[in-house]
Amino acid sequence: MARATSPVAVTGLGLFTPAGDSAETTWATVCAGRSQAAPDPRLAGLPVDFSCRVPVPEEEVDRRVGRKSWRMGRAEKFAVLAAREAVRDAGLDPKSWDGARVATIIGCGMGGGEKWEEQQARLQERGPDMVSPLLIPLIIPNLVSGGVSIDLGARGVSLTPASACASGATAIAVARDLLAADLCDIAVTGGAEAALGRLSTVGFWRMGALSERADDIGGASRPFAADRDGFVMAEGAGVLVLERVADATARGARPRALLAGCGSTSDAFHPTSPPEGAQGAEAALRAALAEAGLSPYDVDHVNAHGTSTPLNDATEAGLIARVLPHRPSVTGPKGVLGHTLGAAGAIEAALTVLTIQHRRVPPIANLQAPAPAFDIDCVTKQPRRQDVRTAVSHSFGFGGHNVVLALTAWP
Amino acid sequence: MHAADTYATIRTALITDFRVPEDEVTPDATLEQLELDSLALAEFALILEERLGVKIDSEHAVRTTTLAEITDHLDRLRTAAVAS
Repeated sequence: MARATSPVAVTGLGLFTPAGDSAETTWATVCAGRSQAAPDPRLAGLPVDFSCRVPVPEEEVDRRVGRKSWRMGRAEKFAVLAAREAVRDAGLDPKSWDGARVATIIGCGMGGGEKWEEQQARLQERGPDMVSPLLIPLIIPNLVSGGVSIDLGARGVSLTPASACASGATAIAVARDLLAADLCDIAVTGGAEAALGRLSTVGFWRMGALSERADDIGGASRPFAADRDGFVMAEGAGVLVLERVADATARGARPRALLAGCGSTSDAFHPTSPPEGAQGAEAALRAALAEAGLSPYDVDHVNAHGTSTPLNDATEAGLIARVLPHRPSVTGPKGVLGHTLGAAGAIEAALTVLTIQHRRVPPIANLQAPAPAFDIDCVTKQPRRQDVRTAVSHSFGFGGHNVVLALTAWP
Repeated sequence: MHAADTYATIRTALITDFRVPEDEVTPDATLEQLELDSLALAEFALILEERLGVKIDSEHAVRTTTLAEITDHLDRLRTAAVAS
């Protein structure tokens, strides 16, 4: 099949997630397959009072971010830390690069909800004079990319795609397009989210999206399990450095993997529900593979969106079984990480890169039997050795956004 | 009457809230030298108001103001508040 778009190289990864403060620590925890959900004191008294937070106290996050942390929202800090790691991992030096040719495309689904809620309470209780002058920069979602741009001296195009739970994957697809159009030479791209506010958590609970498994918090996020009952709120950031392959190899960088194709479609159906046949998601999967010049049978592995909600997982499993009937291995990192919303697509793209590199598929946390209700090959209990040459990472978001990234091994 | 306490509050706010390195926080340092821009100054004033109970006049907290001058200004406000 002819390739429609040249692949780009993934030359750097950075992760700051509930499973660890780096790509390496996150990968180890995800491979161990243990859920990171825990009681969340800030959600105390609510119907759902547990979440997956990053394992680093705010004070330590601030110390790592440094002197400008006071003016950054929580998601922005996560983005900055993950972006620094990704750029370092790529062997790039912001002091010497041509910043005008560096794009920062970091998605965010929600923005700074916790700060919004805190300051709303101050307005109500103490009046307008006691509202922080920093409120707006701390809550606007685009500061996750703006903050990375400032931190790295990246002066090329910077924007924050918002496609809800697909935002991180949308950002990567947009960044790939910018590289293909020669509108930048380096793209620092991914997603960041820190929206574990009381109100936003209640909002997701009210729509029936969250697990209520309060008596078994560690078992609450269980993608593809027969008794799944919803997702677990989470926060974090994932950042990839993308470059055109010729540029990466010319400077002696060894790509971790290739981003070979991106498929982005819309359901044009309903704000929060997928259509029964998942036609939009299927079109995204087929588009990503077509761009990569691959057939469905080339896919060795699927990094599923797998939120652990009854409807999403059933629809996605049906899609995988129908379009990829040769039973590629399937994992779902939200069992370990919870749902990091706008960061999830980027974190999972990074995990898919690591799966390809390490030839190791992480298990789905809390899934005991290989998805009895579905005809798909879920990896359970322990990592599986597999020579993954081609993998796809699924991301779907409220609004009917479907994004599929096709990643292949280098060389 | 408040000087030591007022200065300690200012010092703590700069070090913990604005992450200014401790060795830079000296009485003769200006706000500009401590890298506090106009947005930071507005937040700084709010934090001090919460902790000291008095509101800094904006003309007494500009970029060239030293920490000693701010301390002096806030002390006068605090004394006046106690007297009234």
